[in-house]
Amino acid sequence: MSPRPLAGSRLRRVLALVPWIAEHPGAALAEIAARFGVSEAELEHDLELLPLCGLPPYTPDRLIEVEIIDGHVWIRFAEYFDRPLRLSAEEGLGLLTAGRALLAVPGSDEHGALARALDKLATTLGAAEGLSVEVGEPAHLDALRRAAGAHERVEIDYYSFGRNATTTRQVDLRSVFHAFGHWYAAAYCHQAEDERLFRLDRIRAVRPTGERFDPAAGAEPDFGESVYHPRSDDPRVTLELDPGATWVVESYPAEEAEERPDGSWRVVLAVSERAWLERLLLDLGPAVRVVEPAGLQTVGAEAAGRLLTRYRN
Amino acid sequence: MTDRLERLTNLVATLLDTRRPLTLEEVVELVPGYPDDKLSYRRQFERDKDTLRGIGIPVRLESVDELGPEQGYRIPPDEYYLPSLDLTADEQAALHVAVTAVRLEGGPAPAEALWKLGGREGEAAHALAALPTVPALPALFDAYRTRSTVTFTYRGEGRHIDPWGILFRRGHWYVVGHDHDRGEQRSFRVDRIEGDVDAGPPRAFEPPAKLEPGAVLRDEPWQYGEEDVVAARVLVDASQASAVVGQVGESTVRERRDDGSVVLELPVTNTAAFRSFVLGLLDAAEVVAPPELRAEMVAWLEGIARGAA
Repeated sequence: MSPRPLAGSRLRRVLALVPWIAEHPGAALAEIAARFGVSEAELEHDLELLPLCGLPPYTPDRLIEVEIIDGHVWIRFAEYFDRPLRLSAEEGLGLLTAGRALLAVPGSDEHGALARALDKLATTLGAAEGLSVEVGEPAHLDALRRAAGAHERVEIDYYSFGRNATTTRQVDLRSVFHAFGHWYAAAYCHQAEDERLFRLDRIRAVRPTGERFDPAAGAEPDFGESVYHPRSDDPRVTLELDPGATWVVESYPAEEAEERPDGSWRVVLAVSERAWLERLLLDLGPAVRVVEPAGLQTVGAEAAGRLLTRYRN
Repeated sequence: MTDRLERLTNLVATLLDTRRPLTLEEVVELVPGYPDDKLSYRRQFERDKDTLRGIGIPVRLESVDELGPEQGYRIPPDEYYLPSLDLTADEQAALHVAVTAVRLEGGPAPAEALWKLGGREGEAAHALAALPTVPALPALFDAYRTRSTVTFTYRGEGRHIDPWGILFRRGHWYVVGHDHDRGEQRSFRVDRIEGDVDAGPPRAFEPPAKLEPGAVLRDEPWQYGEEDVVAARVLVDASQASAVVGQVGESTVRERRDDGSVVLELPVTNTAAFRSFVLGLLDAAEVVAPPELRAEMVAWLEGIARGAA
């Protein structure tokens, strides 16, 4: 392990701790440790270092003075560390983004403490207007968040994109969360008799059932980037892609992908729903061919024929 | 041997406190813990300087005096110190809730995010949202706040942009600004920027007053293109109408029919992306105008239908 990041990280903490303690003389070790997310032992280790630090020529009057009495701390003679270091671009961006995202969630208080804190922060950073975060406002967000919070079982009409069909099911909502641009509800689905992830923009209706559920066995939200996990029993389809269509290889979890000398690809994808395959084939048009299984080789042509009937009326 | 953290702390204090830049020789003389040998102390100091800069400390190299060639180091206090934010306890608690509820992937850990603002106040919150981050984002944010023109490569082309604002929408980060080469406002997906973002000197431009990045962004896939704009009309069946309107916006609705279907008008500059969008709706949508675009769709579908015949 390289000692460099370690020293940098501890230095960051020390340079933040000292100004706070100097501003709060006599603060309790336990409170400081909790504020800065360190153990009391680590904190004391940091504080032990300080009396050795100061300014040249390091005579007693030039060294930082640290006094710990009955678990309370005083720091003196560290005027040059009176203020913390400026926020880095990453830190400023992180704080503003988190705050603006939370403010954008429907139901937030636009004039509350968070909004005031963000105004102060943005002014300090010189970033008053130009950073905005949108998290979207799906139609049933409020109702679903409330039901999750109150442990109320609800009935939803859910549009399955893969199957291109809407179904009705009863669900126990574990959590409602936003991940990478979409809102999801993690829930126990009574129809599937299993945990399921629902996209809020595909929930078409929410109805109360009047029943409550036991929240004890809750699953934590899964913020995984790829929400679709192929199952071992999903049918596999082998596709041949022209060089221009290779984005498919990067966009979907291909189980096998092999590049040919001419730049074309042969990929194997797990396809759980026919409608999903239809979309892919219609989108790619002449740039794709289904190699296997034989029974799916005409899926694209059949879908195109079906859609064409709309245009011939 | 002196502890490294001790030496670094002394180095920061000394460079912050000094009124004039200190030469390397002065630094190693004043701050305890450097080796005697010139090659070694030079190397040691270089590592220390990198560590300080790595955590954002502005270590500057400046002329020691106006006449001589000698250069020295210092940390300008006005660049080091965080101006007081005067946060109240409830404002600090609100920020604590925010950094625990919303995770910016790859960003500072929630426990450390508030160190410089006085640490954690009040209770943490349950995770509510996760946002992606992309490598170019901090550099663009910094350029935006210092008003520096940036240079980067996008789709294989060098671009010169005055970043007016940064926006997160539908899972992606965008930078909106004035494009010097095209002489007009443009927006760019930050994750599609290739390589590094180089920033020019600060205060190079002033963004327009009252800019709302969200209002000026062209971010639909069918707007990613340089084709002439076509006003494309799509009929969307009742089964998908509300979801699609939610996606593309109420302002695109041209007609609402009694059966619940809607006719939308979209400004298309990338017909391939527009076709993907319509086909993604399968049987629930149809291109109605202009006739050429409708004919193109029919030809596309006929080609696929023939393919397996």
